[in-house]
Amino acid sequence: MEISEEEKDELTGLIKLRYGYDFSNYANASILRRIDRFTKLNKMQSFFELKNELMNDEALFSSFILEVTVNVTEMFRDPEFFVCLKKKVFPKLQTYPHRKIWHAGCSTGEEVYSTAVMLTESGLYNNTRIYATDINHKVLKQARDGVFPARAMKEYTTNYIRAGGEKSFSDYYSAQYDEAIMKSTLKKNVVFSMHNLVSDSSFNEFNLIICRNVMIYFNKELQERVLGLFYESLAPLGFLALGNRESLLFSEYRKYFEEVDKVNKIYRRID
Amino acid sequence: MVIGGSNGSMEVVEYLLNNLPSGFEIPIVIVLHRLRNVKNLLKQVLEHHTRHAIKEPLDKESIQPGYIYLAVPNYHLMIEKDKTFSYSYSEPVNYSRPSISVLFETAADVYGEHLAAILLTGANADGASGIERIKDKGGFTIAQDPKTAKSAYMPQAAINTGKTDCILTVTEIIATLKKINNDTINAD
Repeated sequence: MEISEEEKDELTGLIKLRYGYDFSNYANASILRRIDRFTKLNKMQSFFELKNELMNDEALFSSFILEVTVNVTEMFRDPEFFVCLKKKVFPKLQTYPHRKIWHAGCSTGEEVYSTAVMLTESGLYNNTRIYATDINHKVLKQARDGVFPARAMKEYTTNYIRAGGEKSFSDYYSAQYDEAIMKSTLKKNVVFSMHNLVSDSSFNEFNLIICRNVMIYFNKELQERVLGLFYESLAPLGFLALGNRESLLFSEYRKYFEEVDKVNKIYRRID
Repeated sequence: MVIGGSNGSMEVVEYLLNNLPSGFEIPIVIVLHRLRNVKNLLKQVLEHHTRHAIKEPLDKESIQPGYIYLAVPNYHLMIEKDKTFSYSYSEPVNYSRPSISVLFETAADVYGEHLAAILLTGANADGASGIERIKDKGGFTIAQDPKTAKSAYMPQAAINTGKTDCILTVTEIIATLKKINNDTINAD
């Protein structure tokens, strides 16, 4: 069931009033499709039904958020990015006695564990603290648990190797039936917490902020807001890593950054 | 103009680009099903076949006349109301990411009757629902003739929706592009 843009605007307005989440600046094409998908999955027949159910059923709204925000992710996604991270960013991070990294929009955690693995192999993990945040407490719990389907491990192993992994990927998890449980040493220095990029403010200063394939779901206005938030949250000479379809090109903030890697969209704050 | 294809369509796209009418300025957006996590050389290959610039657009990049835009592997490519591109990493649609239908449907919503679509050879049904939407919104839809296509499945699935304006061989597509180009130039 397709809803119009006007109906979507009405819905996001209601959601903001009722639940405090503001989806009004999410990119249109994507959110309309996600809402459409949600109504199909829940066999809803009309916009009225969608509106009504969401306003009155908190559990349903909870599943709505899960559906509407895209949480699809994988370990070592875009392996070349991790190669680049190790080659161009880690050596600079090494020069700091202590490091803070922010994974903004960490979803179910696959990317966080990937970074943790790479930091471990580069000898950087111990003096690094990772803050992994997301809008959704359900996915945060999954991230914190670090349990992934065992059947995904084969692909993750391939990605790990292509990302320049130096050991055996199976060193980092234990397999039990159809689950793979990431070793707890990987999350020793990770703090998982709720944070909403739309509405929350800066909470720390970081040497590296990783926010990949999150901002594609935001419209231009919201992207600019978030980039401002990141700028404020970066230590001088701190790094910002975006997804490979994203860039600072269309942002006012680009003048405060230099390009560290054009292909992998890694930037450094130079003020 | 939007073009979608899968198995066997690279050769067709090469031929089309080689033979675009002169002065063809209509922006073209192409989704070809590609293997994920395989080194991405399609842009370089296609660049040899045309003087037009081929871009793999960034998120929020705006659509400009005279350019050819190519969807990258592993993301859905969409078009926004303000004629910019947007991306999604959501689940494959019709087993495909990028999905032809996703591009076609968002393009239909934005361009309505100012849109022409060509669906080429391929081995799955991705694109059929996109053709339907484009036609419903007043656009012009072309399916490659299944008899001459390397894989008939994809164009045939679109034809089965009853929403294709023409079923054309590759040579006929070129002739149609010429006509569309003339109509567009005369309309300006």
